[in-house]
Amino acid sequence: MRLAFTDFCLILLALSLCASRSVAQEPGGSTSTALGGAALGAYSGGVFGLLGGVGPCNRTLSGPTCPRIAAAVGAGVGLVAGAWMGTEDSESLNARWRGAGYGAALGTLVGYGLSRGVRQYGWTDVGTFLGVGVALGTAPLGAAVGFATGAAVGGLAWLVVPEMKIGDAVGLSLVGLAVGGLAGWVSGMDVHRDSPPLVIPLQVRFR
Amino acid sequence: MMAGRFRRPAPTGWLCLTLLAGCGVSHEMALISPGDLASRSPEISWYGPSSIGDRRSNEAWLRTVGPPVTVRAPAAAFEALRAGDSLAVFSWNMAVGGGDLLSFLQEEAGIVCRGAASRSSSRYSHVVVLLQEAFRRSADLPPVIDPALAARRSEHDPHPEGDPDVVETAARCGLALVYVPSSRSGVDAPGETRHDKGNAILASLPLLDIVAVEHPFETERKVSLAATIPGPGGAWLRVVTAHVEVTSTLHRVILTGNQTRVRQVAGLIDVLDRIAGAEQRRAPVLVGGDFNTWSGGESALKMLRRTFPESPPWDGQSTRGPFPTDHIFFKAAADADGTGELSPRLIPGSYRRIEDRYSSDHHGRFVWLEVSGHRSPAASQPHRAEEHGP
Repeated sequence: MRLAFTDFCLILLALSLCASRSVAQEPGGSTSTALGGAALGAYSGGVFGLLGGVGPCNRTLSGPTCPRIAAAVGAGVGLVAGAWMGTEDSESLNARWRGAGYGAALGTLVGYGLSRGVRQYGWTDVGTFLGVGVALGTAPLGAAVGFATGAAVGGLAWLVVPEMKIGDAVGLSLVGLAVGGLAGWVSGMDVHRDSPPLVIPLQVRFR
Repeated sequence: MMAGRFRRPAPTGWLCLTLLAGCGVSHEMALISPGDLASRSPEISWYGPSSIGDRRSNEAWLRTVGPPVTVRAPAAAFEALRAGDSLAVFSWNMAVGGGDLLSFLQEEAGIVCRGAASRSSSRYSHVVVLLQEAFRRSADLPPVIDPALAARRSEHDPHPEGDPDVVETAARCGLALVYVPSSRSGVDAPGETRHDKGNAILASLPLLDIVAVEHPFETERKVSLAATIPGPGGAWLRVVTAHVEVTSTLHRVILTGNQTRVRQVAGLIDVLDRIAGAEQRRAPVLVGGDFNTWSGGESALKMLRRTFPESPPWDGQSTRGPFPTDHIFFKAAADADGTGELSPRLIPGSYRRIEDRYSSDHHGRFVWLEVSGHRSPAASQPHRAEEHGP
């Protein structure tokens, strides 16, 4: 059975929504926190979109248009989620800023290590790892769950479907990371944590 | 022009986030003057990226390699191309010295290597071998100590019949040769003869109109190579050996939206279209190479299949570990039968992966062409093909 790409994204989204529900304290925010949240969300969402587009967009003939659209969609989702969070739940947003800081530090470390060991890596790549680390740090749980799910599905497909190659599996892993990361942001909009948890029933049928 | 059919790579990546514009990533190509650099021989037409940044990076690497080698006619007395003949085309990344080229030529291509007395075995009438990562050994190469300007050195075990470089191998087998180095294979090391590596074409037929295509720069200089095989009555086939980047840095992936191989392949297609446009005819072209693709559905492969519509379908097989990196593409001549000229056509079902890697990390690819045009299609089956199936 081969799932359509859309089905796969929906499943990942659902899993990530279940996995990355944050615990919010519901303190309200201000205009400045809303703007800060919008900026952080747009940036992180854009990076998630770009990373998610790496695989699927490299199967199209649209050139850079496809990754640009992916980045724009991700940035849009992140912007709305970040602005909402900055308005309604500034403490949760602060946690994301802290995560971004941790991500920046970890990304810098990874980038620096690579720049010392890999010929073609330089300071621009250290900066890029820093930038990607910032985005991943804002929604680490969703990104991790999404990546793991994508890797599992991609790995299974690689083993089962002859035409699927390892590049396709890597692409699916990154799609998972992106969808999970964005879902992590979207789930942050659920500030009313005393409401019943979001449960999406999934049914997968093998024929 | 092919370049017009694809969207020109434009600012993307971080620029999508900041809504700024300006740092373009282009695949546009231009004719390059060889200048006074020995490593850009004036015997060859040179094309390269229009972008100044790409060109500077390519030239920094260019200064580390030796001059190209061209032996336009085979030293051995191989038969001339005639109607009804077959042409066997191999494409193989020989992993610098890792692959045993001499054994490949003798066992796979059926060349009996005896210097000027070399001959084709009965298996194939004519042979063309498109090589990637061929190497040349020479103490005369420029000194290189900066590892940022040299590809990683290839380590390998010695082969049974010695370790001849591509120039010596071509001489041993009496073949025509074009070799264009793209980079050094490792920096200078005490007690070791310097190596450079690049693409090469070996053929039992003459090689004319040689064109070198320096790809848009990603992490190291890559040069694809084209040559024309002449035939009687103006018949000819352009053959191309291509090699593009395996992966760029994260910075480049983000900046370009992962357009690394797309823009390199688009650059190659752009040059081939320019050449065809100048000739004002749809020439038959065969491109074989290591495209370093991670998936059989990658954009770069789709672009090539669209440009070369008579390409054999991909068989789903990987050629380097789990990666489907090596492919052959083909475009037949327009209205070949109407011109009365000889024209190469693919023999259906002949496209395959070569199972023996001959100590390389890549499997080769093979395709068989028939030379038709002066006879009716029914009578133009290659005589060697009838006698000896693939």
